[in-house]
Amino acid sequence: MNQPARRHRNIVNPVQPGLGVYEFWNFGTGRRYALPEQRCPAKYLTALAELRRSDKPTRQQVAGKTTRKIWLPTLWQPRSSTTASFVPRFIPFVIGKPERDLNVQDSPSKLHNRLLRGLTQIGHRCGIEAIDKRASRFRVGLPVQQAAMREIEPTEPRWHHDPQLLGRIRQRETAEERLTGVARKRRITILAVIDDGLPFAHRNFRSSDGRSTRVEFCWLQSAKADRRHSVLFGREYTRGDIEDLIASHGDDEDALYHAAGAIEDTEGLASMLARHSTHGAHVMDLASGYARERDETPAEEIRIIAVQLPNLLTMDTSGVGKDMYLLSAFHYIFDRADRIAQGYEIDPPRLVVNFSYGYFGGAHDGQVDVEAAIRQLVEQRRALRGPTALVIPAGNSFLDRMHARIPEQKLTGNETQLPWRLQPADRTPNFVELWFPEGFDPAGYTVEMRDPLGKPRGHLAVVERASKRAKRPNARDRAAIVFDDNRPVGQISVDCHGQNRWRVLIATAPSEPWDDDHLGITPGVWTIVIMRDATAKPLPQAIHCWIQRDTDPDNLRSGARQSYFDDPSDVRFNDDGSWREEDTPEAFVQRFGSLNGLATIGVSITVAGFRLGAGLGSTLQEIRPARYSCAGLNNGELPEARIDCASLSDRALPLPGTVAAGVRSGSRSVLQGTSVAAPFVARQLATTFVTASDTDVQGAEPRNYLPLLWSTSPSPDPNLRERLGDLLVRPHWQPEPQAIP
Amino acid sequence: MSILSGNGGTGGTGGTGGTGGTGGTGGTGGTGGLNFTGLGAFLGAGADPVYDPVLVQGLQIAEQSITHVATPIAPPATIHPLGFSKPDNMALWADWVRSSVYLTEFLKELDWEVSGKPQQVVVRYGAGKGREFVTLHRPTMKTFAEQLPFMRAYLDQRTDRAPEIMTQLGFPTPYFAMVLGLQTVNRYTFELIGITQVLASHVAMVVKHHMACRRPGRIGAQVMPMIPTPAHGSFPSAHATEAYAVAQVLRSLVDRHHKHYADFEQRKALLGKLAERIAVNRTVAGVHYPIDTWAGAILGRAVGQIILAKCNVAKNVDRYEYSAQGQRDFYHKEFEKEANKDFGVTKSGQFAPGPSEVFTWLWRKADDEFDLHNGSSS
Repeated sequence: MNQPARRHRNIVNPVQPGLGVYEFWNFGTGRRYALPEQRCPAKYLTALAELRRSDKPTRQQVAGKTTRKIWLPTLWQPRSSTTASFVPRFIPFVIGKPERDLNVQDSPSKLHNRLLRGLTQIGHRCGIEAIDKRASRFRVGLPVQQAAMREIEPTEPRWHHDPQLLGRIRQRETAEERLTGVARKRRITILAVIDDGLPFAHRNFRSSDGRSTRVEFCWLQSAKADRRHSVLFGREYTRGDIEDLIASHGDDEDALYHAAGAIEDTEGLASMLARHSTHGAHVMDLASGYARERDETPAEEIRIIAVQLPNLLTMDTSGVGKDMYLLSAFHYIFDRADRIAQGYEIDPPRLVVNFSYGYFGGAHDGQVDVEAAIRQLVEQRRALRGPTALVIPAGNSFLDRMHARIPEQKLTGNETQLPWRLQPADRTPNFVELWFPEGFDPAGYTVEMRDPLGKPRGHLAVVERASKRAKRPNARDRAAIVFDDNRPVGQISVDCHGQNRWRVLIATAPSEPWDDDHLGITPGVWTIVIMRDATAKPLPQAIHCWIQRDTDPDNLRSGARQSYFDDPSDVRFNDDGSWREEDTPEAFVQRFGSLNGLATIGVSITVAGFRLGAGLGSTLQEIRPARYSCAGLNNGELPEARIDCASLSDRALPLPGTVAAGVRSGSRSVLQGTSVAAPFVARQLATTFVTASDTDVQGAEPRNYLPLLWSTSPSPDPNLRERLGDLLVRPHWQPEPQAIP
Repeated sequence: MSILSGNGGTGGTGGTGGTGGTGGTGGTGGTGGLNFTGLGAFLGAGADPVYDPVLVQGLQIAEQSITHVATPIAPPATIHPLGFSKPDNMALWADWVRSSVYLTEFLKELDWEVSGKPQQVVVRYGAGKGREFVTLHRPTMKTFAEQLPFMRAYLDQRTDRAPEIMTQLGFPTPYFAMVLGLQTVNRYTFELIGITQVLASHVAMVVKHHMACRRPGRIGAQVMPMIPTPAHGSFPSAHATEAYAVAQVLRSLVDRHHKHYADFEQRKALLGKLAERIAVNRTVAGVHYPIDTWAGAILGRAVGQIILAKCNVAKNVDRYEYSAQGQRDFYHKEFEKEANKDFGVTKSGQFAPGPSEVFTWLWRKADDEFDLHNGSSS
């Protein structure tokens, strides 16, 4: 039977000014499609506020009249005699719900009202008395589990410096001098790791005596809150805590992490520390692990700060749910680094942060949301405290067809059709971002979604036309509903950032939602149609489209399945059947430009992955980029998107991945991806920071300390430079000596 | 057929998929004959061969052709009998016969009392008062239901542990051999491990039968075990009973042979940890609750102690009582504390079962495999 699809009106709603388009989906149409953990009303939500000061004084609120529903995590508050106190542009905070509303779902507008009511509290605590409420923006992310949270702002950590440390460092200096005849001073340097499943008591992070640890601070963001409460949510372990645990439970690490409350799972998900290997254990070991069985002596002078992100974050396919957790991690690291510096009297304290995660979406210009927030923090720390390096991976989606480019040529007929394949048996929502060039006015452009049979299912004009009937002419941020028959299964929304940078976000339901009261979206090739009328201006630069990550690499059973641009004009294989690593110019899909969204913030070192092209024992000339290793663009469209350097991410084709420690001392993990190339660079930089002179470090700062890395330049092949950057960094260790070129 | 030889490997189970990015763990080899439960490797070991008809004919023709040189002149002067009821005769019997002797020797003193109010099983060893060694209270269905969140938490490790789970369906002897570095020459040590597992299994089955507790897969729809659910009750876990019994016996063995195991303290720690690993693997697989492991481990430790007493290397067996705590997981470290109120374990007194000749003989044979009489004897 051939029944015509039911017709429906195109429904467009205004998005609350100040609330993002992701929130509009997540708290609106999209809520029914969220994972079970996100679907129930949450008592605590993480959020970011981008505050705007007001020239006019605001009305003073009467004390005691409002109950407190906003809590700030540890914020880095550098005090400096020479500069005015630093107020971050983006404030991370947790917003709580009154007990009586606990079973009520927030609509986007209700949520926005709650956020606005909390704004004065935020401003008050950050020393901003007058806030322009209308101009302030919010981002709302993943919840905080009730068991992880206590409604008190963090207290001071109980931490003392290790009085024996300087003696141990001096011993190392003398030993080196005796061996080499060179007297070099070793400066205490801080290395921070933000990751999942961090085995903070692992023996590879201990001092040479095996009883004390180099981990000065560790924050597990989703662990059960403890009584000490030195962090707003989760639990903190200081060096003293970890050493006590080693003393009492060092003979059985299962028992140790259990006694530490690090195994208990407040998220109803997996306990990463109960696993054999984790991403975090691997990364942290490569970044700063020293093992006797590898003939390594602990670098006593490199002190560690570890932050373990919640698991829920890897299940969130929007990619933006982690923003507040991540920004809080940076604040925490900077604050604890100050304490370490004070305790050991080091000035200026040098810090390397390894963050082996990625953002697939984003403007890729370092101007938007969490990217801008991190950039501001790093710049401020460099200015007020000392050298601050941020090492991040290039990303692994080079061949995954998740980046598309729509240049003017594609729109010569005033319409172009981008095929977007949504997978069957997908249990998580899908998101794609379309970014117009900066400063471009997209008036006259319309984005439409067509289902796999080609039927229009919703559309949205990027810029709303002035109309006499329009009730809210100012509604710049809007969202149209995408229907599958009469079911709302998606959202096309538009918002504008920074200097007139327009974004279209399309969110769709999974094809098989967790909540089976709701049917999902029909899987298959949907079409994103971009149309324009006669009034529209031609594109000065291409529109770039990025699909957000939608996989379950840690096997957390989210049921995520990656959508992609199913572009027939993209040539995927070479004549010999191997994966093609060059782009087809006429295709939508472009491998180059797939780079991690965080790699474009200007203050990071972006690390690509390489493998030994001719197997173990290859020379540096035979290095090949790992096939999945993302790259930027060199056509001027994304000037910030470039690779800085590369390190090993696979030993060779038949030996994928690198080898590092598993979760328990003595266990072994094999993991591939640019995530495991980045920590080789972080390690080398931290090692260099220990002995480098102030002049050298300052001189290298404008290039994010790249000149400090000792390495070899890759071949002059420009394509290879675009994939691997200017420097190849050798891994410090792999089980096969021939794996180190 | 020696008890060491495998009954033909069942084809290797394919490599389990890589756990997110970590390379796939290679396919596990064929599971050898060390993996049968019930009578374990004793099943059929040393049984008489079956002659084919041609061989029987050949034997008869040969007999008729050579018998003429053995024509009897007079009856033999003296015929020496075998020693009456001597344990050394064990060396003359087939493996399965020895197994039968150990088994019946052990079981003749095993006894139990079942009461309905409260529902409990008291296991005893020997006649007379004060010979009960484990009292297990039957957990309520609510207690089992409380354990379901643990089942979910452990389920997550199936990708990590699948190769272990698949090769520990029966007795996990190769895992103990790995820890002690046992070789094929240690045939009586293997026999000691084997009979310990068989005895522990029988004791567990007695209790399981009376307890009659539903398996996790019948209580939690989302448990969905990754291996067949065995057709016996859940509480206590026989895998835990066997593994903890073996750990108890082998700990004593390395203790006595510390000259051959200079790092014997570490070996002992590994044996306990391995027993925990084997028991918890069954929770990961979805066929046992953590409280099953608690009950099994307590029972197993006692069986191990009884065997050591029968082998005349230890004297006493401790008396325990267990009432399951639904909200508690199993941890080896907590088990090692012996009495543990938070976890529902109480300890009270002990008794001495007394030695047995055949067990003492077995222990001596196992002993001999470590001491090569080259001057290192203790």
